[in-house]
Amino acid sequence: MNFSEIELDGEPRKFWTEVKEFLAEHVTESVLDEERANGSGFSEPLHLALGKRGWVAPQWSVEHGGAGLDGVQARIIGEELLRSGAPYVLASTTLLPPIAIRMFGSEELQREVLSKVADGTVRICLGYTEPDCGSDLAAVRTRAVQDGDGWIINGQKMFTTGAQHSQYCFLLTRTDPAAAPHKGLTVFLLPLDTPGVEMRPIGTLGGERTNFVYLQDVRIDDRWRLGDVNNGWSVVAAPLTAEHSMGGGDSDELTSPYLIACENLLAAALSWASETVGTDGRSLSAVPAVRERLAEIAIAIELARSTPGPMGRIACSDTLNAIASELMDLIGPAAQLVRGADGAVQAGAFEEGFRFAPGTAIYGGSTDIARNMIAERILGLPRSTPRRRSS
Amino acid sequence: MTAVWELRRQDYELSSEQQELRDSFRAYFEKSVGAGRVRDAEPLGFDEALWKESGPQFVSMALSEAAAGDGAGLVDLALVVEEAGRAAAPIPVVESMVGARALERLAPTCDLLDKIATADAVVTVCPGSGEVGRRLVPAGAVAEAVIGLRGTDVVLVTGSAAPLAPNLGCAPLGWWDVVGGTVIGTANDFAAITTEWQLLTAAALVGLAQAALDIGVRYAKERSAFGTQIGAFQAIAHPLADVAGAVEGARRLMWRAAWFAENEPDALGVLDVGALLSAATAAEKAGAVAIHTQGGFGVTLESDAQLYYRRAKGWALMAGERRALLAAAADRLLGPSEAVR
Repeated sequence: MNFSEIELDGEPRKFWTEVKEFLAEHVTESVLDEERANGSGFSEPLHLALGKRGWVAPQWSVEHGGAGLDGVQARIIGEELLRSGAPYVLASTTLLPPIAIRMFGSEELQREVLSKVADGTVRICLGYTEPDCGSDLAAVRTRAVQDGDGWIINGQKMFTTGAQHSQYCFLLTRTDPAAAPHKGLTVFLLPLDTPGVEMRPIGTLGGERTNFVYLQDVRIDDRWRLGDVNNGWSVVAAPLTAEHSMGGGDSDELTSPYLIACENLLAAALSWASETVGTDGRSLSAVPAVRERLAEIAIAIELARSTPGPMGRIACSDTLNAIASELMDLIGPAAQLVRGADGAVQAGAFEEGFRFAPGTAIYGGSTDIARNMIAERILGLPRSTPRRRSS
Repeated sequence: MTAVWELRRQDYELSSEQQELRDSFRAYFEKSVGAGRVRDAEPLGFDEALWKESGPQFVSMALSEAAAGDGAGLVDLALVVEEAGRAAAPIPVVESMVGARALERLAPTCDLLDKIATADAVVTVCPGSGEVGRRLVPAGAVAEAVIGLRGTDVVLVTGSAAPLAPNLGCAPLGWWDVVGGTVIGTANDFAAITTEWQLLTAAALVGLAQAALDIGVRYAKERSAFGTQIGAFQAIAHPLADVAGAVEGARRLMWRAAWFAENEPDALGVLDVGALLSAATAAEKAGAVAIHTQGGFGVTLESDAQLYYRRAKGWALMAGERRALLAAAADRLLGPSEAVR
């Protein structure tokens, strides 16, 4: 057990300074404004600048286009990036498919795609769920049919976040409708400039933009296939496992972005309390009821920080939902004013947080899926999701 | 607006010695303290034979090697206390450990130290503020000395054990007048005593919570209704999954708090109060969910779930009023209220 500070001297200390300077230069007010306006979860100039330094995939080796950094340095980049407020969603999802591309892609495909992922010129969105799927990925209907040395794909994908800034979609398709649902799936890396691919934006409550991707008679070469035909369930397994932990929990990994959202709301509330003068002429941070509430929220955040694995994924999201609401109650009517409105509190941070929070219990596999995982794999309870009858 | 972050290790792993320590006490309590023995000790909540047998070891762990003890650290003490909590052992482990450490620091020549080392006396602590007057003291019905705050002084008050004040958790609570006595320290000294009591009580509550969770999970696997094991219903499984998260989170927060109290007390922040409140919430929730999982059986006195549910609330309440605990945490988060303009 050890929670001591990691002593940095010489090179690593310089490296940290370098990261901060880089972010100060590239995460500009205009980058943040654009993200607030479009919610695309991506900034191309920032991403390309990261790629130039090998910081898109900082732990990949230098010959693979990364920076060959150790865990501590990668953590410094990751934490500083997340805490800078820079858009991060597409940069994170882009790194998931390469896990499968390394395991299942041909050498040629790896050469073609991975170095461009590392230099930032290639981004990859996740083509998993569909209008009728939700979290039940084995239910995908998008159909891929073999046609000579290629495939013809028809169907639609939903919540393909970042597709408008991506070059590829990591696409889960059905290739054998007669097989059991898990056994008739195949994965492709679909170039998004292929004729027949169309996308339409979907706006979210949290101000993010995601997409529908429509696929009509899309013809691609067989070389874009990842893994064996009908073995798609194994191909998505590794990236999915990595994605499930992105909501937080694993403490030696990066702090969950949802926990950082909690910390930012608490910091905004602490500023609000110290800057606001109460009826007795003293700041609100001297008022016992305010102090107790803020302490309670700080404790909830520390509890979520210590909660591991899928339990932590739930805790980070549930805590964000709870405190976003409670802080608005503490602050009162003006907490609902949007950024830029006359009298908006802390630039509308609480109004924004309240809208952002519910989605965090859905993204990357809902908290209910996490509860099923805990019940079945950790507590050893009988399986609660109904077994699908093989068709 | 961005919070400052520190580049710290996040290593929650127990050493092999710590795992052995935990395993050996788990085995001891599983062998010695079943639910029957817990019930038999009610309503006083004190099993004298068990204390005679095990008390000297707990006290020895708490004392430094200079005081002829084993000099265990707070994290190690927490591991042992969690196992006592898991068994709901009717012995004053937390109070005796904290009391022994306080005596060693503040009254090293006191002859009570010899008596507690052989389990011939219990010296307890009274958490909470320094208000003068009658105080409800944990283990007050079995102790012959109480360490408490009187105004801004830490005092050691001796006397005979108070009569049992019958209570929810069947704990040996008793009323003591924390007046007179010997001054042995300052308010600062008492802050350290309070932190240790909060952390070890958190450890005991985590143990209680784990035991209640285990009861609920076991029942959900064994019991069938509507033609299936009830654990297959998400209405049963998901609350248990939430309790599992609450228990594991509270356990690791408590470990982190104990580590900071031992290694970097100035950086403790809200962690000690946080550990206590999180463990209290987890234990109460675990007890309530275990009872609800068992349905009608859960509210019968035959069910062990009720043993844990009652103790979860009772033990946590002894930390003092929630308002005061949060006020103390707020002082660490925001600075003392008087300093705010």
